[in-house]
Amino acid sequence: MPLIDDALLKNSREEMEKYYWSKLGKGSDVTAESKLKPFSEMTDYVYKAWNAGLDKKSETHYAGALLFDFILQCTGRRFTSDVVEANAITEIGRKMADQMWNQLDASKGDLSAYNNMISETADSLLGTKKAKK
Amino acid sequence: MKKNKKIVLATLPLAIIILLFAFTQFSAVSIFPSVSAQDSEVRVIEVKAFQFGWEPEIIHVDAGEQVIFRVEGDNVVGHGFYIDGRDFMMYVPPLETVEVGPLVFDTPGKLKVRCSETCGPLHPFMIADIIIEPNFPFAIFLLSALAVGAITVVYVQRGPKEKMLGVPLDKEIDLLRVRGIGPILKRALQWRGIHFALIWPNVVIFMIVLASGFFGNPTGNLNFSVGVVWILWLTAVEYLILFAGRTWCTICPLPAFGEWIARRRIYGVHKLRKPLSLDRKFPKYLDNMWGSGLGFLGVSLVVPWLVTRPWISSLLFIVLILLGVGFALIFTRRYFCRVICPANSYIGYHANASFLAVRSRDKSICDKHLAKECMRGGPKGYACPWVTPYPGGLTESTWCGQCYECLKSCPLDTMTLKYRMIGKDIANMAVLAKRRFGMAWMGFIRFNLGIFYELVFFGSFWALKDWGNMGIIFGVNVFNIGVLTPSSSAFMGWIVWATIVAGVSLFVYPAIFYGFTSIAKMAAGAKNLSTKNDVFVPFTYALAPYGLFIWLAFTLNLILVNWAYPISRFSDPMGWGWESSPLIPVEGLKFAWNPIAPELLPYILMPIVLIGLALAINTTYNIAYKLFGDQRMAFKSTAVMSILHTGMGLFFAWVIIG
Repeated sequence: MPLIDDALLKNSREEMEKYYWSKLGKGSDVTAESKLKPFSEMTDYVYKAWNAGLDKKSETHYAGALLFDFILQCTGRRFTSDVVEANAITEIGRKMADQMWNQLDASKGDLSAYNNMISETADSLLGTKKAKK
Repeated sequence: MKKNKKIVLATLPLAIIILLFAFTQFSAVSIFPSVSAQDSEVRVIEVKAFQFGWEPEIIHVDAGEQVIFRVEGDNVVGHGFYIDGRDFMMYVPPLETVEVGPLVFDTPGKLKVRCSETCGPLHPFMIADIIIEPNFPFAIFLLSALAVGAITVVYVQRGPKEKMLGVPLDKEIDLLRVRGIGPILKRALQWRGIHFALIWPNVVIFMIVLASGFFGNPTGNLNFSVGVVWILWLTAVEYLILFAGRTWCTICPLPAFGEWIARRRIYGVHKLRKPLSLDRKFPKYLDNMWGSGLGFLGVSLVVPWLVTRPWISSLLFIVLILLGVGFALIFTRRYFCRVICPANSYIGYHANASFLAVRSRDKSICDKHLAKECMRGGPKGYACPWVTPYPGGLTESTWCGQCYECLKSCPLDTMTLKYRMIGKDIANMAVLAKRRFGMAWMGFIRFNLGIFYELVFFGSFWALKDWGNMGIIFGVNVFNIGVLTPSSSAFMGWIVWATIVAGVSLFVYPAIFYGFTSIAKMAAGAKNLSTKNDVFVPFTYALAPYGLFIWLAFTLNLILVNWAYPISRFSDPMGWGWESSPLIPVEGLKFAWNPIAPELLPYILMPIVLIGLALAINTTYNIAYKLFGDQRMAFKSTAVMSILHTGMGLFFAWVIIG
């Protein structure tokens, strides 16, 4: 099952498309992996933070900022002047991280289960698998 | 035309001083022509040298009079007899008497007799005054202070809005967008290693300071720790505050050790490691200026020991480092800097009168931004280490340590360095700070101590120095700590000193200030406001620029007279005579004591204080205008407060030339 709910998935897909994927162009070097790099880095961080026993609220905020930071990096930017973009990305990042954290709490940090869920979520995010209604 | 008027107004105080100085110089020649030794009777003045003063401590001579100084040596140690502006330094051996002269003093005014031979810890402050009568430069200084006070009051009477001495306060330069240097500076400040790169050399210097303080020459001016810290650093910090805000805090090594340990990182951001700190919140009722302000006052109580005894200096630094580490391990972020560090108290206070500040380019963007990495931290930067509630909304520099974490962490690139006129934010922050008594008292402490130090260290009143020094004539390092035991009578003298220092700063001047504030409020007719709760604290913020300029004057005096001591210590930090060793190829760094233009010092220092006076009066007006919302009321209250500010300018004139 995906880690995050459908509404958030839909919202995330739209924001990622608007602020990230559309800026990657349509060349052959744009792969699913490159499209998912910021998301993967964020999920990786969430797992490590959960494992390190850090504070959920501050770390999920941080994960949102991390997602945005990777998107800036992957689009060749250091900053943006668009506060709407910054808010949209960090908010979806924070909300996704929050739900991932809950799942980790529920599964007691089972890494293989977490990875499975991440992979399903990634598929849903890219639209390669139909999201659960 | 209007622009020309502004320029005239802004340069008037300086022009007055220059003209008056020129007048004293040239008129002296015509009024009091030099007389030759043949046609005038020679007066012999008996002078006795002792550690660390001269007897008499004030010598009156008439302009044009021929004088021979018969200087009787000490029975302990040799001294040097030097008079400001004269090209001799006469050695006075112990138990011997030397004659200096005949000398003729053509120019009325005040000159200092200084000891030119290192004779002990308070040697740099072994000073007597020669007052050349008629001392009309003193009268001219008084008139110039009155003139500057009056001109500034007349200026504010015209109701300038959002201006400081004619310069609009809304004009700012975004330093990070200045063509050429801006992008380089931005890159540098956003580089994570910058903090470490700047602190590391300082840590090395700091280690030398500690080593020389504990093990080096026990006499202050021959020791790296005293020479570099209390002459070079003290002066540099004051000028840094004016031109570069809290840049010292950027590179200060004191909290660095604690911060590195607590973060478990030297310069990277590593969120996954739990900080090696209990991360406790500091009690809110203690999170104010009182702790560090009273710490500064506490240090001031022993300042004659501190700035002349290497061991005491190093001990203070060790204590501060340990406190820094302890605070970092217990409390979250930099509470050591906020509430303990004595230097933070005045650097933070006066940073509000600096040309430079870290601010947001556009607060509305920061307000809209949800993530607020400046507050919470982000992938590129830590949350504000200074626990500033919201760096994006900064309107004062008191609690911003210019660590630039907000510049690094902000993905919107809104944080920047702004160069603007002195006093840009003071009026706004003052009216919001009606009950911040800690800030008010910090202003009193700094302002009073600036004038008091000028009087004590560069004045001729030996008793004042001796009280503070507890009558001890020895320098101290780790090998002879015992010599610092004072006699009971000397300890009583210190009690008198401490009473003066603390009494004037904490009670006498605040009481006078309160009285003036009360009259100012009455004059303004602001019946609905309370002096204590609404007017008193805001009006004290005028001391931020005034106090800073008093200290700029004091430290300029310090460095111009004593520059050779710290510079020479770079080749011989321990004061063991390494310059003379054939193994040390640094002969060129040894400079003989040679003060720069000491006879002109009053004419250099007074304009600095007069600029401070003008800024204080204009700041008072800006605060009053925000407070009362009426130009007439603001003017009336400013006119009353200007009497006090001008009075302090007159007092400073007396200290340096009266």
